[in-house]
Amino acid sequence: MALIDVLYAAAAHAGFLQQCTWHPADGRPPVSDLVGLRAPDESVLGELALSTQTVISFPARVFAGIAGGDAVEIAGVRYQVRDVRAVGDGSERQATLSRQ
Amino acid sequence: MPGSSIREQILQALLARLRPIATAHGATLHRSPTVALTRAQCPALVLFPEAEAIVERANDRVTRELVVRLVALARAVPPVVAETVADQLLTAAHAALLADGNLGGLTLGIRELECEWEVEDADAVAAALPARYRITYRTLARDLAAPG
Repeated sequence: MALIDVLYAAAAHAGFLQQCTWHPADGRPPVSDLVGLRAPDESVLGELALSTQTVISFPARVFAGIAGGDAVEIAGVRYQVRDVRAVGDGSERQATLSRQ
Repeated sequence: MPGSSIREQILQALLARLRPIATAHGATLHRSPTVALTRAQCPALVLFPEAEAIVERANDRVTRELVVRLVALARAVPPVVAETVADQLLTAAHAALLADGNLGGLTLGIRELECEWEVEDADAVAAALPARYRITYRTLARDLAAPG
């Protein structure tokens, strides 16, 4: 098992991950798996506006092909994927989300 | 507004002009907010007084120029374009401000100076259109609250 999978399995066992359903924009069937979720608030536009920076992280083998414009659903809340990028050695990915 | 300076009366008049515009566009209206506006508070119109300068002194009269910044702030999830939403809000606000350049007799005139575009990635794309206006008015030299 790859190190990233060991880490995510441990995080899942500790209850740190959440169920996420990916709805590909091209009509492929939805896929569900566990992801890490962070949603800290940050200031944008020179402190004029507040934005929740919602980010999910997951092993690269999970949600293969997820891209901007796709939808994901976490705890009943639907989000649009803004951006997907590799993290670290590329075995992990992070996707930034917009609440729809 | 007894005791208020003419510039404060001008700012209050500007907010009174902008309030129905904000309401009509489902926007909130703010003056110099000290905390960041949330997505739920957008779209929004935000008024900031920026600076004031004296441009002429004649006898006991002082002509002043007050610069204010009016920001139309919008958030949108693509394919809706946040800049377009902000533009519609600013267009309506601009028309309301310039409909009566004298603000009911408080000022000698309002002039648009410039506009900028700011777009930033956020949980919904955030766009701000800050527009600056120069407001000319006159007071007595010894009394900020007395029209000149």
